[in-house]
Amino acid sequence: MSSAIMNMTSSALGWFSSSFDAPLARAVVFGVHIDGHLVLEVLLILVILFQLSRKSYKPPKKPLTEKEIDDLCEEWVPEPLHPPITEEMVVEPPTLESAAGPHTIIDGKEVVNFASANYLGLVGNEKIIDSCVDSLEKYGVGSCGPRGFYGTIDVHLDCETRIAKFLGTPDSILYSYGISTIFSVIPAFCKKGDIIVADDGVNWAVQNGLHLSRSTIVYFKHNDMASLQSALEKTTKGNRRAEKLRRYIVIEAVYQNSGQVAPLDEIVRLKEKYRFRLIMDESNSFGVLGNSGRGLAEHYGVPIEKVDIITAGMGNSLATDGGFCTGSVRVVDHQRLSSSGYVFSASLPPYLASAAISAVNHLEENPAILASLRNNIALLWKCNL
Amino acid sequence: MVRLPYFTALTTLFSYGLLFAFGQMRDLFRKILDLPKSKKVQGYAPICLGLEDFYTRRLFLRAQDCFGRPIASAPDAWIDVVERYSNDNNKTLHRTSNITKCLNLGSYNYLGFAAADEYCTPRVIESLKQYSPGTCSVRVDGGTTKLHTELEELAARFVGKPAAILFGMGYVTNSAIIPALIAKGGLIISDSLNHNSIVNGARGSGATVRVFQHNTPSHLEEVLREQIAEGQPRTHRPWKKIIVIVEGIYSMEGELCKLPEIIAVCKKYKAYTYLDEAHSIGAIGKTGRGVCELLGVDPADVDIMMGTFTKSFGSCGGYIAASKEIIQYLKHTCPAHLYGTSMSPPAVQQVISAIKVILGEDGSNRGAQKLAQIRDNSNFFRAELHKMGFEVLGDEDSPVMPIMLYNPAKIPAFSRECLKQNVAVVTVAFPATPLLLARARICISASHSREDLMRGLEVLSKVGDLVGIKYFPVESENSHAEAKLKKLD
Repeated sequence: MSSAIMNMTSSALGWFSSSFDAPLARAVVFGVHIDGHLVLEVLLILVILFQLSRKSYKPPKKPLTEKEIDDLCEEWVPEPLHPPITEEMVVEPPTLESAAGPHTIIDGKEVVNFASANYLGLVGNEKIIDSCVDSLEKYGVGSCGPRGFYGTIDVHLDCETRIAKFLGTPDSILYSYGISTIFSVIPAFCKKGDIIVADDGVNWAVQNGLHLSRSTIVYFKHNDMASLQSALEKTTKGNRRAEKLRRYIVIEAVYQNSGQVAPLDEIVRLKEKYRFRLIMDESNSFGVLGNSGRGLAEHYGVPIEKVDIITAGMGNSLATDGGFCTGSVRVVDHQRLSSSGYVFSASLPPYLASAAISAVNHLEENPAILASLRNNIALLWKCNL
Repeated sequence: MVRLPYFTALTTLFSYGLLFAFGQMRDLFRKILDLPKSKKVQGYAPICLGLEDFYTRRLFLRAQDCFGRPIASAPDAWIDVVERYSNDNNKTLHRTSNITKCLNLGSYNYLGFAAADEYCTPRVIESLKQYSPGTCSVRVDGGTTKLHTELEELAARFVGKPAAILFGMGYVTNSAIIPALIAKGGLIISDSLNHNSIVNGARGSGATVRVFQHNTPSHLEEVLREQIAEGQPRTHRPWKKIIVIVEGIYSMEGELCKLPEIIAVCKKYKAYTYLDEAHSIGAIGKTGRGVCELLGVDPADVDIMMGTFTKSFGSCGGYIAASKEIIQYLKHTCPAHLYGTSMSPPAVQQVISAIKVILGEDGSNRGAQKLAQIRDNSNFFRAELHKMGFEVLGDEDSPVMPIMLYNPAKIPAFSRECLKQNVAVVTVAFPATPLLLARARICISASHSREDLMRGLEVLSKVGDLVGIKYFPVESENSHAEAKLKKLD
């Protein structure tokens, strides 16, 4: 029995193997003899291709029906636009009835004003008010257009050249609101993928600019140079030279939240070592620090070209509104087309620009006010601490 | 809707292609010429790499003298444009001391308050002497004067809402308020052609942003249904709140938003509405109260109304008007209120006086006259431009009228020819508008007299023929009658 089966299987196998090797129909295609096994191989390839071309099984998707969407919309309850109003939200700030000078009137009483950032005492200055009156009579109040569309008035251009001349930089650019300066400048230069090393005690406007720029942000401890150095070291590990990546350090000269002064000479030394660009916000130090009020660079004796981008709001020492940014010609030109707070917004009212020019003139002619400011600061420190 | 003739689309694309090719060639030559020069700043990446500022360097600089023209007078109906010259092919422009007096069809001076006004200016000068140009402080720290509280009440009353809050700049108003109202977990649905300040505010808030087709309430409904059903991305939890942001007049199209339909859709799906009336407040509506008055929408139906004082009131700054609770909450949390310098007191006084003139509370009817004047001027100008065959966008009563130019070469040609004939126009191209749809935007003011408008129309017609932008010439009735007579014969 088994031998018969063995015989049958061996003969079948023998027949198979001979038919595989026998040339089929004695055909020669392109110099290749068509053997029997070629047929099986072709069949196998066809089966593989067929299987590959079939889509894998996915459970069928059932989109929501209109009725189901209606039900979902019905039962959705939004949160209210504002949380419940608490006691502290209803507190009203004091209302001034006169100019915000060193003495002001609130509710009919004369009070000493320690709340306004009127560092040089230019609120109520006669010359500034006269230049504003002339400007108002000539130009009206508003400028009625953005800088690109007939909103550039010659006082704007005069103000820009005056500030650049005062600081010793090639050019400057005016913005129409103090805090919008820094949060338009940072996104104009820092794009997605760039690296920013920023102090963690910067104010809200700088934080907003950093958030809008979508770059990678590394914070270092407030005003701590060792922390800054380690942050710079960490971000440039491996490559000191930046070919495609832009790198920035963002600091404030005098920090709004803590009042500390940034050590600019240290920072400039670190920035040159690690090849970063420096963005410095001088809102609280322009017109205050330095022998003639030219800011932190003069205070430390650092040449102003070493700081790449300086921004400042003019709402503090210059007693007007608006802001400016200054630096090299490339820096300033770039902002004229890509800074959103400059391009998409109406320009500064012309009378505020003439107030800024008069304020800078006044500061340059009377450097003695800086001495009285410093005396007052020293007095407060001596009495208090 | 913009009708773009097929032939014009082809020629415009071809022109842009040609400019792009030339620009690339010049870049190549610049790279070859710069190779031997050593790089001055070693180790610093350039501020703009490669193609990032290609458009600025190679396309925009060619026509730079058409933008940013300085003026030496108030931005009134007639302005003194300062002439500029360039020695290096428009890369740097220098001022001269020559000025040309031009008709101003570009400034946002809708009610004519830009120049010194007989009622407003004396009061502004008085407030300047009393409060000085800056307050040097933030609102919560001693920057609030009596003028600020007075303007907040007046603005709320003017717009028709219970309370309002002021800001020193219109751009900051949008960028700082939207993050205060909505955060991660919320949804913002904004119109596709919204202004850059709204886009920045939406991005800064951290909420998810979806866009609906411009001025299409049906698509808004579709987006709302889909989003509410799906929930937050990836987690599918329900949204915390939904805010829909639209504008009153879209400044690049000149058209009004379909406010009644959009409000109906939002009410049905319980979404909050935010209306940005930067261009429409004071300029449209019978008493100047904006797009709500014109389209018959009750201000109580819109949750938050925002506006700026730059355009119709001739000042600076912005406001938000909403219910008392929302304003109290915003005064407590909004960063622009807590950290931004308060608005300059003379500018506040200008707005107060301007609103009083518009409402007629100064004892004269100049306000009503101005409103009637701007409406007549806008409708007359638009009808005449249509008759001449220009492609003009915008709705009836809107003082903003864009004239389509399309081709990139026509933009500086139109602008320079008009300046030669003493008319100052504004031309807008990419990136403020789509690439193929460049336009010249005309803004009509109440201080334009009928003769000014006729002069403007005459110059526009001449320049339009010269430059070739009368894309849809209207057959005049005379030629129709002649053709009929010929047929009878």
